[in-house]
Amino acid sequence: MMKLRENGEAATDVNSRSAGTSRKIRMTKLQKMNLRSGLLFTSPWLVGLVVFTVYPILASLYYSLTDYSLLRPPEWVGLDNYRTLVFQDPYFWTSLYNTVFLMLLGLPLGMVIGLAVALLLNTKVRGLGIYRTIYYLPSVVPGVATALVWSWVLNPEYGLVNALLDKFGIIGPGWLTDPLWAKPALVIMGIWGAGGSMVIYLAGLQGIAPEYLEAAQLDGASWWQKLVHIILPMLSPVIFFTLIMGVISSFQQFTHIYVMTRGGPSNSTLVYAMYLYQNAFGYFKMGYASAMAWILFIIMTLAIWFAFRTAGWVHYEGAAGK
Amino acid sequence: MRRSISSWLVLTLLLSSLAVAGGVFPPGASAARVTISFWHAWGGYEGKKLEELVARFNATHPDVKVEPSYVAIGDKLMTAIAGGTPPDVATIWDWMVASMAADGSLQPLDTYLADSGITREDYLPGIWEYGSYRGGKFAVPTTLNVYAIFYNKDILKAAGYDPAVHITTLEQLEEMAERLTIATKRSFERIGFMPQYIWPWFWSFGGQFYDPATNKITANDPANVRALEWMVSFYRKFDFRKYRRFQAGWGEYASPGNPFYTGKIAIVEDGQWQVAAIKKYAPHLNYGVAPYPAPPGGRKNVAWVNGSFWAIPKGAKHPQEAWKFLSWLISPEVSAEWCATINNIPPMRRAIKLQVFANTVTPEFQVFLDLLEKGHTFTIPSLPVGQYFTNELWNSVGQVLEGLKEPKQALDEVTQRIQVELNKAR
Repeated sequence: MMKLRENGEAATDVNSRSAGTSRKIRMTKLQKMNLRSGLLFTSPWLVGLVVFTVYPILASLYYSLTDYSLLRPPEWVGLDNYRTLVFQDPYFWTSLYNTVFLMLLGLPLGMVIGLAVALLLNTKVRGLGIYRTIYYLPSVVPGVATALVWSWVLNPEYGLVNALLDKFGIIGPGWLTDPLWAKPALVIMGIWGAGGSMVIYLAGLQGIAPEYLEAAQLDGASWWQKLVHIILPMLSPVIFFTLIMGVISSFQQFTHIYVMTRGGPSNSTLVYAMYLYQNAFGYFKMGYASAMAWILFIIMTLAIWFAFRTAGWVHYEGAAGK
Repeated sequence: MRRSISSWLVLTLLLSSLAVAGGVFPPGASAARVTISFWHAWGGYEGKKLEELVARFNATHPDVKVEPSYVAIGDKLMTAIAGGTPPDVATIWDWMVASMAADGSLQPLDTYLADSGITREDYLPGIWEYGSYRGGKFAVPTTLNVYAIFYNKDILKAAGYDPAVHITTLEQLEEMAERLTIATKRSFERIGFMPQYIWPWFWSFGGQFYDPATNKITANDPANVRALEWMVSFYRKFDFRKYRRFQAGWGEYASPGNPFYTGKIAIVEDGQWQVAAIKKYAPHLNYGVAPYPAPPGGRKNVAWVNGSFWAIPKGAKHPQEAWKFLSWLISPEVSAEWCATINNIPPMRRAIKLQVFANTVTPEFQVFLDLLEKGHTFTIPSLPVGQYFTNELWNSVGQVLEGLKEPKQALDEVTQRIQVELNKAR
């Protein structure tokens, strides 16, 4: 290791040692120049980050503590917005319930189906590339287009789904027009887009060294044993990744609902992001909406923290005996 | 010292260049022409007509140049005002007027209106008050819509009704609704009638939504509760779920597939623009128009009016010129021509009588004009929580139709919720 480090690297070592005593980082002329040009070259991104991301995030924290209608200067109200949301606003809980409902139903289903399709497409069959493309295709379609197509597919009178059910003598439900069926309809639509996670699983499957499977084969392991004892453990980091991403995107779900139902019928699809949008751009309650955004942030942080705490089932290759 | 000399030099140079510019351009010509921006909300042929009118204004007014742009009014306008870069003139919708006025984001128009000699009497009854906030004018109405009952004469005749006898009582309407409905196993072949809007029925039953004297929301007025109970009775009778499915199969509203044109629904509530739309999409439709019926002791001939407004936002760079343009735009001649094109009703009495508008009036359309002149004009209450009010009302009525809540309970709850918001709005 040490042999690889030369010149500049060695100098850093010396400097960092002296930095401990003088508490000042001294750099060589070359390093200073490198730092300067480095900062200069990354400055477009840095400025963008500060101006368009860091500042708005901090500003929203401030606005969440105010009554701000965009047209009047914000008025300090302390934690009022948070208190109203949690204790007085029934729609806050409705929207949270709807979001969690959609996540608990849609996420596991989407993951299982994505994984199942990935396993199928990991075999050696003719025309594999075509199948992979077909299954992946839906996740390339823009959200608005998907939503418009599906509002046709799910149309209770002329839609594809109910026409199909009709063939079996079943009178299909009202789907997006029926408060009972609107959420399941959204879940079905979400499964159509499972190709996105499928591709990630597929990449994970390709990364499993064939030696393991070969060894298992020689030991006489069945297909199921190979899946449970080799493939799933080896794939667990990828599964964990899609789980985390799935949780995040579930809480952010907005486009489809905005286009198809706007939260209706009877608030049955009023998800968190939709209600936030309604407050911000329907009622211009910017402070209230900012408070919602921060509560969402806290919920998501807790959810992900919980996911990491219970991630004992995830095996990282090379991470010895975890 | 040296610094002040050099700045003097720069200043002198600047001044002299201005003098040169003044010499090149003759005084009073385009050099002094003020350009104002105008955000409107009309696309398609309507927008084309509006821009044609603007071009006419520009051609006849050498001192002001109007630059129109088609903008989706809403958050964009709010952001522009908040950012200090608003247009000089903008379209706004009725429910926005009070909330924007309360926020101080509109310039008061009272003195402008007085200077131009425009008074309450120039307008149709009830229209001057419409869109006022706390007695002040912050926006001028530009186009009006009125609602009434449309009925398919052929369907009525086939069922043995005399279409010459208008729908005058609620019992008649209920009876027709039932007799004209043809149910199928999974849906409907035809619906006689289903109440569609909230406001007009509540008013027809004698209800009110707001009491300005006490600043109290009165959405749970006993008359309103009765109206909602009456509305719900239809949805219970015809099975709301089934009706929704039926509804999902309707064609586009502005197309020949409109369920009223195709006979899927025999009696509907709609606005006066439908007269022109029928001429365009279903010219052979045999239909009639009747005012809203009312229960005994209720209000007959309720004219539910809504419309659009023009306003000068706070922070507009040229309010004087903006008014110059606005007052031209709302003058009876221009307003009549504009409304005739888009099949709305001009808010000023004199405009309705003008040939350019009167030419477009058919007997069916006349019903709406009569309603405005002789009926009870009602508009949504001018409240700073207008949008919230409308949304919440629809939400709670939706829950009642869905069978989740009883009418009284839902209206009590919504009244309380809106009151809380109203008290916060100061």
